[in-house]
Amino acid sequence: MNIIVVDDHIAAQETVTVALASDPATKHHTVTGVRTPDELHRIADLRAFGLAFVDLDFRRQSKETGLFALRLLDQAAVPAVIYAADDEDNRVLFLLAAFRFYSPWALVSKRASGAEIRRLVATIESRARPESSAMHRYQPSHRGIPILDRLIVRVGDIPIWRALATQSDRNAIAEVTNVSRSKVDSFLSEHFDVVAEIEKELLFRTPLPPEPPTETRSLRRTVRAYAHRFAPLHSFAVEHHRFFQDSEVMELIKGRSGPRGRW
Amino acid sequence: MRTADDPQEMFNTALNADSRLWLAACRSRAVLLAGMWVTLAWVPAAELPRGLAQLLAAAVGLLLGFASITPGGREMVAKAPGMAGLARHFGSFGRAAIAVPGVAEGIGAFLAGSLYAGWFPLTGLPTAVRSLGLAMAVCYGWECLFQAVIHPGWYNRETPPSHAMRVFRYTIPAIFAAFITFVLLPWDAADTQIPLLVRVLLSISPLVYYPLWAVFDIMLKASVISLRNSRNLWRWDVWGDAHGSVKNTLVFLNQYVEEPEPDLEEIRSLTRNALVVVDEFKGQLVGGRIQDPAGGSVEDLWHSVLRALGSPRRVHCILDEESTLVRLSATDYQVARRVLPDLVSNALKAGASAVDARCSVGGQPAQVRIEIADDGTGLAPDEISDPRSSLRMLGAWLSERNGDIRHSAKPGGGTTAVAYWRADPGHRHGPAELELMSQD
Repeated sequence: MNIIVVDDHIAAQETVTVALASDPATKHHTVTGVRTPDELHRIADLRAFGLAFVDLDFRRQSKETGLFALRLLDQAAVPAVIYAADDEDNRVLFLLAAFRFYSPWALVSKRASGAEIRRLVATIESRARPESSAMHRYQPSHRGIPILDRLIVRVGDIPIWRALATQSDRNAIAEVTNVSRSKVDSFLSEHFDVVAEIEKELLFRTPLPPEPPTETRSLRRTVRAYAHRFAPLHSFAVEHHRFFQDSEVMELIKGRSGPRGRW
Repeated sequence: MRTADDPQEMFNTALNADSRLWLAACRSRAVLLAGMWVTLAWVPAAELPRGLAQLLAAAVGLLLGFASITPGGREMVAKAPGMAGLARHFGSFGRAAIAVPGVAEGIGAFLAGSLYAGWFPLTGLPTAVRSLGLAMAVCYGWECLFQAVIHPGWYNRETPPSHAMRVFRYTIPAIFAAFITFVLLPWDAADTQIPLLVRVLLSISPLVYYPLWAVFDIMLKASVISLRNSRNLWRWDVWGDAHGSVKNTLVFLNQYVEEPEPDLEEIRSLTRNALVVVDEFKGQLVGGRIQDPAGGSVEDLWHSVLRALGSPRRVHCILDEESTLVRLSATDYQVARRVLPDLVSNALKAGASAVDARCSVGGQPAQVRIEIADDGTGLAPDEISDPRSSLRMLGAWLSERNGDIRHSAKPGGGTTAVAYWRADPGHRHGPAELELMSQD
């Protein structure tokens, strides 16, 4: 089987190569690699590959992320596994998007041993889906609306998430995104719970304090509720700003099927 | 230890604004002073010497103001006879203190203003010229004092102004307004020529300091918040870069160490590689080195290798001049990052006092070639033949890239090691070879 490793580190390709070459049962596989997702475009026949190991974040090596690579591999019907550390908190949204929009066969940590890599390749070679408990956390639940869809309800949410990362004032956010101030407030209100859920369920952080009671409609209450929501959502947007900046995410959300409208 | 959260960021921002504001205000005052000089055209000849003298004093004050803000101005003033002591009191940006140029400009403004109103105004001026001259003189003094109200020293947390000074700051506009009101009282018949409305407006004009001061503080805080926001994003970016380069390198090293029976030479090689990555990261962070997605320069790599290995200064390590121009693709750069430290390290271990490196890319199909020549003791035959030696391991590693490593003894002593491998076809030869490679 031809295997391609899409990773900015040559060491990732070597790790897979050495792991497979060190066992006679997997020695017959050929491993090649590209350093950036863009380089996949240069390969004339991507379909020749039976498996791809895909990193998610390529930092300054490329503007594209692993989501772009997954799209190309998906179009070529190449089974892909995510080859990335999921111990980094700022990868979480990339992982959610990868499993929301594509069906990676597994999530393999870069700490995986040679034996684990060999087992994984052998399983995929037999066209069976490997058991990967790590990926269950990121797969969309069959019940209810997927987390990512609640985080980015509509295309217009992305500019607000982007602005929320760079600005720390609702007026500034409204100004740069061309929406009303009340829209920013309702955005904060709408997304507070899903951010709290991601923080708690996926990042294992202390849950955000519950929303203050809103039965009183006084101005002070509104101001307090705004202040209460703004700080955690701003921090969240800052931490994940590379995800929200990714043009591929924008394309995926635009192309997302479903009844959800756009602003 | 200084942290990224700088408690002096308000002060530092005010400092940056102050020097620019002061320079702009000096220029504006120069225009006002020029206007006052023009009003002398309406002064009777008998009063002209007094007018010239008072405006000259104002001009000296303004020149001192320019000298205190312009690079080299202070030194120039100090060179003038008897001015060295004066130059020492040009004030400090760090503290809200009385500065000689400020005082001189204030006195100059008062002298200029007293030509048009007050106790001894010039007598022969037409009303319009007198009113205009007075307005320019008040504006002049107004600008001088406003600099004091928004002086960066008020925002200095390390040497904060005393409570009394802070209270005084709030009273400056009121005191100045009271002072102008007092001076503009109709002390002299000439004063009564100035319309009452003009006198009232000029008298209360310092009260505008309060809203301007508030606006200045708001802008200052907004700049600081903007700075903090940028810094927060930058921190995450830096961490992302650190993760992408340094941490991932260490993860792969750790992953190899955790394998059954890891080889010590391979661990050494991976560790050297990690040290070079750390140096590269430092270069990107503080050394102005730009990470190029298309690859990297051999010269940059060479310097990183030398710093990472801590090459002793007694060893003369030289990269061939032509090689400094060679740029490698991202893949080849990473291969070179494994090869170069190993070869240089071997040369240093052999006690070399001179290490000459050369790197080239050429041939068909393209090959990357790194040559290291040293004057060390050379390699023992068993070191080359030992399958677990670092060189054999490196050779085996390069063979996966259609490469190898060769050694030869130099005639005059020392060793020449040549490592070579097939250049990354994706970059050098386009899609055809990559396709071939994928079907190997």
